[in-house]
Amino acid sequence: MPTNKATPLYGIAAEFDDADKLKQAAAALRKAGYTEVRAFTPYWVEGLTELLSPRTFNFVPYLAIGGLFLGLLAGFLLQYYTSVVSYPLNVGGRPLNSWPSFILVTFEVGILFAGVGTVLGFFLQTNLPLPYHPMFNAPRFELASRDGFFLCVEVTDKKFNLDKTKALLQSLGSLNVSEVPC
Amino acid sequence: MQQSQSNSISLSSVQIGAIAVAVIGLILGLIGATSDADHFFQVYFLAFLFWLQIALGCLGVVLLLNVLSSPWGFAIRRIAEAGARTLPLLGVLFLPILLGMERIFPWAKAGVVVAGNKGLFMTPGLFALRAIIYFAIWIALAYLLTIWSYSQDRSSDPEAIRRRAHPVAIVGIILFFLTTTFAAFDWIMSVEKGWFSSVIGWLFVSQQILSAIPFAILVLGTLWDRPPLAKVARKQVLIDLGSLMLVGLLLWTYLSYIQYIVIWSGNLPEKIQWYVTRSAGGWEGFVILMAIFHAIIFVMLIVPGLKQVKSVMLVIAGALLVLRFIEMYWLIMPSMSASFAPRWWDLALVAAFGGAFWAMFLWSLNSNPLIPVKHPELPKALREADDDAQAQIAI
Repeated sequence: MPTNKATPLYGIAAEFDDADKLKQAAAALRKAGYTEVRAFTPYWVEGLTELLSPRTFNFVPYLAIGGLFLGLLAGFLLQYYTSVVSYPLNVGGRPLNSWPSFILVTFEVGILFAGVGTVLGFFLQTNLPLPYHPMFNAPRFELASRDGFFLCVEVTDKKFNLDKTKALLQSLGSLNVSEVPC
Repeated sequence: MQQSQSNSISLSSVQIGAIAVAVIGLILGLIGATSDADHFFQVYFLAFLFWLQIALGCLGVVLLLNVLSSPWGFAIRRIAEAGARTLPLLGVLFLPILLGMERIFPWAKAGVVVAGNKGLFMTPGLFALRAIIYFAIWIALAYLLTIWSYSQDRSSDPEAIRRRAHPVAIVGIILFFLTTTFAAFDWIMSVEKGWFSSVIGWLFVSQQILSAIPFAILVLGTLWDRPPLAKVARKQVLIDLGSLMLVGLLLWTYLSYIQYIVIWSGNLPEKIQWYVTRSAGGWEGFVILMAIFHAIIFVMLIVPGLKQVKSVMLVIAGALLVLRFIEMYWLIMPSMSASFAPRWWDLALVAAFGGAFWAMFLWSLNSNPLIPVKHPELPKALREADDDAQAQIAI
């Protein structure tokens, strides 16, 4: 797609033949000092995440453990309220607050909330659902969900230089290199 | 060559120390026995069960590692094999328990008649016969598999040995679960009159996992830099073994809780009595100790990055072994005395048993290379470990 000077640039995309070449290119970019590099692959490529960028803040574990504790509390209080406060019932002479038997439900509600927290964290972390992404403008990008492996260096990268970055990507054995408008 | 000589020398001196501990501990225990013979046999039985669960756990690991192969397996395989080879010693040390049976088991006391089918099962003669069968199966499995494994080091066709051991180990795992379940019925469940729990066999297996893996980690951590072992001893091995401890801990927690909730819900006099005696008279302290420390260990095992620190893993492993002793004390002794009443020579007796166990263990460990050097899967495992190490450096 020819770049119009008026539309701002999102980055420079490069397509690769397979996962190994993509990983090599990502490693080379990292060595060259690029930090804002994104990869688009049809499947999970092992070791790729570590090559792309320094780890950013991850919501998921915090939301998961937060959900767990909230769930434990909610599960226990639900049972405590129903069997001690709202509807006290003598079951075989046991105390109303029979916490040993409450553990099961407490545990399960805890797991449920931790699971919900994890899913929420996943959506937050990945910005999904995402109806539009500038990479849709890259040529042949539909192959990223079939057999295409794409890298994109964003303009926000401190080392970004239109010509130099383009030349570097071309030298890394890519099938094609293109400018991606926003 | 010189290196391995110095190894064997230092291990031998530990072995002599272990024998010394065994002798001194036994003397102290026998002095104590003159004042209270009943307590002597009870603590002797407790010491037997504590060291047996380590040896049995090692046998379980050996069986498992003959079915699958992985880098962590190569790091602890020879340790587990040496641990499983202590079973004949434990079999011999079981004999005094047959002599003191009526001092330990309520059903064996003179004049006691156990009602129903249970009475046919729990007789001294059948009890001894079953013990012989358990030990025969365990020793046969342990020696068959370890002799093959040791001969593999000198074999010209290591693949043939692996193929031969594979089906034996599969059948062995089934036999292992059956025999340990019945052993748990005989030795742990029957100390409390009339009590029964169908989950106790599995609980015993989970205790073995939580004994054998920490035991292997302690030995592995001590021998970390020894020549053949150093090739496979890596961070990833510690992480894998830590995960295995976590699995064991989860299994143990689940089974302990399930047993408790079933008995608590049923609230039947003959079953609940087991927990009633174990939550009063000082025994409740055992429960609190176990709950707190297992919770701490659980958190330590799920914190990312902590599992690859060797010193942390050694502390966790040591703590888990101490907890296993506390648990075994809590399982056995409340049936003997209503309140917690230790004697000064209790630990001496347990240490004596341990001295004998360690001497036998080190003898097996010392006479063979610390990893199965000719195992067909070893090069692959080493390559994977190298790849991991290189990937870590690249990042």
